[in-house]
Amino acid sequence: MGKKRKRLGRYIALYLMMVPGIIYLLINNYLPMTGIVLAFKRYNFKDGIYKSPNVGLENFKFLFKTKDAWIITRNTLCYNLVFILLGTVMAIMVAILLNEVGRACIKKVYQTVILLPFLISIVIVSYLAYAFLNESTGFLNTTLLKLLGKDPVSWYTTPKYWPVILCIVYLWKSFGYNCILYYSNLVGIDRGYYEAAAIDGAGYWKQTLHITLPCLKPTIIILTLMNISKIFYSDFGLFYQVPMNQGALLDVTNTIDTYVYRGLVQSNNIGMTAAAGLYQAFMGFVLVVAANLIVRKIDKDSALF
Amino acid sequence: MKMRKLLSLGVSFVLVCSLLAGCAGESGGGSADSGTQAVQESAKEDTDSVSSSDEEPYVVKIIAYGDGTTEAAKAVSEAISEKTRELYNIEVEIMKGYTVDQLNLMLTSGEKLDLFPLMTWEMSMSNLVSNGQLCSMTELLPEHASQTWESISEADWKCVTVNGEIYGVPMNKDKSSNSGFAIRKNVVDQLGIDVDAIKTLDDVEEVLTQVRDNTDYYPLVSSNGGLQGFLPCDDLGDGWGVLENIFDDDPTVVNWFETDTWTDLVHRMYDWNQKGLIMPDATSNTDSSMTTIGAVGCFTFGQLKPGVTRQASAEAGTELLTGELYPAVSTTNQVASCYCIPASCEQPEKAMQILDLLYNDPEVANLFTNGIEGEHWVYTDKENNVIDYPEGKDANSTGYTVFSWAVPNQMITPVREGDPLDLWDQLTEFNESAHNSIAKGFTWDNSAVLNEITACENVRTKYVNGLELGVLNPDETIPVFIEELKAAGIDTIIAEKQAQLDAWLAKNN
Amino acid sequence: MIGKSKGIHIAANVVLSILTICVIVPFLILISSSMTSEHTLIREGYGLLPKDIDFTAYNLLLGGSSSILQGYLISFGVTLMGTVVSLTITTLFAYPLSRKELPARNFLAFFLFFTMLFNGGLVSSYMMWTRTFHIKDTVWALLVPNLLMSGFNVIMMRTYFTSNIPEEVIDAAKIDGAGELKLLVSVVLPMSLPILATVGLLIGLGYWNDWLNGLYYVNDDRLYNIQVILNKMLLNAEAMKKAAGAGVVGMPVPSTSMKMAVAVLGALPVMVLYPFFQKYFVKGITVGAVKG
Repeated sequence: MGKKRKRLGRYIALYLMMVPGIIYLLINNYLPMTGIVLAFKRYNFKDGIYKSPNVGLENFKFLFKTKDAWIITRNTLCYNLVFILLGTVMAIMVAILLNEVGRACIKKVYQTVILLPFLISIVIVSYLAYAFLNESTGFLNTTLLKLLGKDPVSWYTTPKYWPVILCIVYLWKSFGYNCILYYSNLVGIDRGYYEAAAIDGAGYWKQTLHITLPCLKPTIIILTLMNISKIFYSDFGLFYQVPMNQGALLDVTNTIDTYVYRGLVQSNNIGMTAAAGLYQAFMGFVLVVAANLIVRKIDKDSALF
Repeated sequence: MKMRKLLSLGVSFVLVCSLLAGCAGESGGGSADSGTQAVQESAKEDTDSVSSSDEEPYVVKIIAYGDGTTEAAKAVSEAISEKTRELYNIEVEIMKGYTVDQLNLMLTSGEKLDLFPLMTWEMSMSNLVSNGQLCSMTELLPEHASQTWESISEADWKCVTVNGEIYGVPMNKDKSSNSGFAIRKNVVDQLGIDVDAIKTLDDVEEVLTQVRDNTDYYPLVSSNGGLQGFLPCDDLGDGWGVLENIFDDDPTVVNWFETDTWTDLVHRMYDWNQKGLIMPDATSNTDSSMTTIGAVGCFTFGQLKPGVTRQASAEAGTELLTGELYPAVSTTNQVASCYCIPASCEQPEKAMQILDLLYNDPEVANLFTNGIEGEHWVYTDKENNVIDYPEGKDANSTGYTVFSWAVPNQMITPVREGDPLDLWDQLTEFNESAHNSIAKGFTWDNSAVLNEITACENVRTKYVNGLELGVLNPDETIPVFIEELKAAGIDTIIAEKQAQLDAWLAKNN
Repeated sequence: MIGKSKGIHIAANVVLSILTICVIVPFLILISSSMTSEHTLIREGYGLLPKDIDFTAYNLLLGGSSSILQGYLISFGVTLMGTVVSLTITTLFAYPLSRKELPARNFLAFFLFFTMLFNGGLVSSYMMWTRTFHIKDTVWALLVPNLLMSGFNVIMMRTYFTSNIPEEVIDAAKIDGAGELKLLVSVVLPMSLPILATVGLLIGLGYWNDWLNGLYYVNDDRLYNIQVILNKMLLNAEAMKKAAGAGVVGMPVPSTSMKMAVAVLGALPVMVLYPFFQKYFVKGITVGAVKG
């Protein structure tokens, strides 16, 4: 009896800790969520958000209307899949290597540098990309390709290069962020494991394979799950600003977000904007719940919820 | 131990914060309540029409297009309020530095706001009206702003009319434009070009060829990756369905990209690009045509108006000359930038009175446009009403920079040093000389075809800049472009627009 | 790691050096173009070193009427305050979530995760914050909306707690009679410095880089933080560009060098301060060999 009460007391203490967070989520996230109804409304100021006339699924139609629907969905999903894969591999690799650098001051330099791309906005990144890719004055055409003895390339009118360019820009901009997340988990691994392994005679690769990676597994799974939940979204800046909204590249750069932006920027139709957002969130939700179910089956502790 | 201290510090901090938040919320709520109370009271007593001075004045919140410091905005508001308090028992509060996103948020959320400028290239009046976000002025105007009501022409009122109701007071600025070109003066001098003799695209081609052969400048430059429009077509708001040539007075809505005018232009551009008359990388140029000319270019098409040569030269940083290709025309969009009262305004008649004052009272208009004498501007020639920045200050450092063309009536404010003394007369004459589009006054409501517009907009992005700057081969590309537009539903848009235009014409002619 | 060979060291340094170059080169272009005049940029393109030194962009940004220094101060204050509060709330939420035996743990995790996917859009948040909470033009506007706690950070921290704090340690502390708060503060947190530092960094950068809250909720220039000041200048210039596109001629348009200078001024303090912060990325305290 006493033991049970004690346990209950512990739970209450734990729940109390969560109170500030719960209150914040309720206010900041759940209260405004009522705005989702806008996706099904023909908004009208006099009636207000909640009393505006219902239009059913009318607001969603523009997302599926033309053959573009297939292209923008394909682009959004494919890029995200590649980003998840390459991003994870690169971030883990860099994190592990960073942990191998002996001298503290050099390590500091690397760490600072890795963070730099995260500090500048994607608009600026688009200018830097332009500095490299511009046909007549760009760095690649005037320096690199010349060195290799190749003809200059008109980057902004040639779609075939852009899947690669976008991947590079994405990795450049984001690897530091992901890397730091993995790195913090890496340095938190109990040293005892490695000591024990070393006594058993395990070499570097064995230690990486059997200790480091398994210890990072929960983080890898969680980050991947969170990325899957955003798989129907795309970074607007990456797909709009970096290719400079070039028409010739649209087949490989048009995503759901850029498509919606082009259509609605002037008319400010909040119903259709809400509908697009809800569609993206809902699809991500379905996918992540499914993925989470699979993870739960295999490794219950690593699941998101 | 250290950690625990930190944590307890953090916890107590959270507590303090939440307490503070509580207080702030209460006091904020309190003042808002008293505000609405005052409004209700004054509304009750408004039946007496003359408000007594001991009554709390109504505050008209007005957004100024431009930026400035909070301090400067307050000072100018107070200076205007001094006058309006006496006249109407109204106080004015100028709000500066608003972006169109913020403005949309305010209009949607119903935040307190009484007057705002609507720019046709930022917002669409018909969309705002169909969202119910604007307050009709039809009845307010004759009663509370009779002077304004009488001084604006019927044709101009039509441009701010949707479904028979007037929703704005058009800004008194350049209400028409003639199209033409700008060219570097040093090149003109060097090559001995007669600018006034350039009248057709063939003349232009000849000049560009000379530039290509004899100078290091790029002949024709692009503007932000596109070609500056210059043909006299009425885009009827958004370019989806246009009147091909304003001078023809033909009310048939056509697909611009299927017209001969456009096809000819595109073929010509392709030819020019083959000949090296267009700058390289034209479609990925991120700068305006003026900036580009200042650096590397020589020639651009564009819209003109009195005083444009000086402004364009200042922007390019080098002296330019301008010439006309098509005489002045006037369409709805050129007039329809206006000041509006949002639907959330509690006392529209008071907002109307202030707008009337801004439109007709030179002193108030000058305060609103240029700020306070001595602080934000000084007279350089009081007799002729010419002003300039105070010594040691410029547009960036005065603290009050409202754009002079974005006020209700710039033509009653002083002119700036360097402008011709009769600038406003020139502008009025220019406006009156323009050929009015047959659809001038027609505003279209696209809410029924937004699906199609979104699809078409994406198709347009894909091809237009490439075609208009001669990068894509028109013989191969135009058919594909047209086909994709049709698949995206351009014909539905045009049919809808034609129906609306026909109905409008039937009512208004 | 123990028993590593020298080869690994060298390989690590080689790979990281290459990455460093890949990152640094664009940054040199960024800095050099912020000091190059617009005309030179258009004519000759971007270079690693400025072709002609021209500080117009910086003069415009620093010499304007709005006080940059005050913006920095507000940014520092808000970042500091926000990070402390946010890190506290985040930790307090993440720790119970990491305790496997807590009833309704999965529900709470879902409750949190749901907010990462679905949102009611800007309009309804704006209406709530301005009309119910009246935060417009107060310092709360910079602190509270969206930034105070992100589901992402909570989940990262929870994952760290679950995978790096052995249950045995918690059980041992429980047997010693430690209450939950004491357990968190004196056992779990000291072992979690790396994640505290990381999440703190992410939160801090979130506050430092934020300008949307300032844009939507603040119009009093005494409350502008540095990012709002810098971005407002660009936005105004951008609006003029749009006006110019619509036929209103003769407007000043934003120059590329000004955008670059904005990026430099916004990122500079972080670049300077970050190395000092890095000592918190040290290894968490070693917890003996609990498992083999």
